[in-house]
Amino acid sequence: MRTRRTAPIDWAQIRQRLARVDEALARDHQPSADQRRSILEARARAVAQSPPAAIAAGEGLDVVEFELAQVHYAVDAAFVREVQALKGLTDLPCTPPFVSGIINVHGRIIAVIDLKSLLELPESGTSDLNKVIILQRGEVEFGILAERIIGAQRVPLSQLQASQAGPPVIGARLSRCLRGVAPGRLLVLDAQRLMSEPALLVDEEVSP
Amino acid sequence: MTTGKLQGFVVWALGAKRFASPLAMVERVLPALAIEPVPGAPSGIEGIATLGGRRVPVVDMRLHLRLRAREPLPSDHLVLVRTPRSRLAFFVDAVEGVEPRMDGDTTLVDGFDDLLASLDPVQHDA
Repeated sequence: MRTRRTAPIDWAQIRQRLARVDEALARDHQPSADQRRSILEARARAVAQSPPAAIAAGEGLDVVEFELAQVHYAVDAAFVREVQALKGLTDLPCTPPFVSGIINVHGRIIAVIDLKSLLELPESGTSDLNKVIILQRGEVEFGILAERIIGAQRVPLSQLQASQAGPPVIGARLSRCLRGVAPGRLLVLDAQRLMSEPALLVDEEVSP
Repeated sequence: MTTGKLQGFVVWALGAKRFASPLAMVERVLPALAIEPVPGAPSGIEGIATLGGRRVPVVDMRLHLRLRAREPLPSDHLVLVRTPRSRLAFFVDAVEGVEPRMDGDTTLVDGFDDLLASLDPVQHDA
């Protein structure tokens, strides 16, 4: 039998090629210099002002904001162990539909949850779930999928409205796991309740 | 969120290269924004960013790491770091995430006090 010899993969070279492709794409799709300046200046104006006294005094909740089905959600940053690009997702048979699979994170096997399915969130067209936020509370850890990570921010507790102020049509599970709604219709999830959600306790046996 | 006991690294990229800075030093990551040029500033300082009423020097990390210079793009990010002695920011192409340990192909960037000290003093709020 003939064996085919394969050269080792040169990841550095692949990254360089990808960077060159990115640069070429960016050149073709870049906004004009005026548009770029205007975007950067608008952002600078938005963050230049001093934060309101309540936030500066520490009466806020540090959250990681992410986008899912065109809705912005946030989760308490204290429970976020890390954020990664989604790689190597493996299907896991005999699990509920909200378990997208498992990933290997630094040698630890972690279940990855699709919140759209778990919390019965409204679907909105196709989605590209390419990020995973790994939550940890004691021994419990799992990943939740996101389409886009917006970033970390502090939500003033005084402006966090009760979950009744959320979208009028939300499922019971989302309602149970919603801590409140922040300005800009940011749905702040209660990570503690989310991690104790009964549906996450998988206990299914398969006959041999 | 306290920063004193945070473990792990913020992994960021410039071009094809990946770098990591201790999470405990990274105060915030923002989308790239316009900064004010500082007349007469050394070449290692790109300008000053005003964040929440505070003026923070923006260090030219591309120059420091001997990478090709380019203007910030809207798709870039600004990483704000804080040490007990200083506070500074720098532009990166992308922030890949927070990881508990560094990969072999990632370079550690954490000497921010030395970096700032190596440049001429620029007026900023600590």
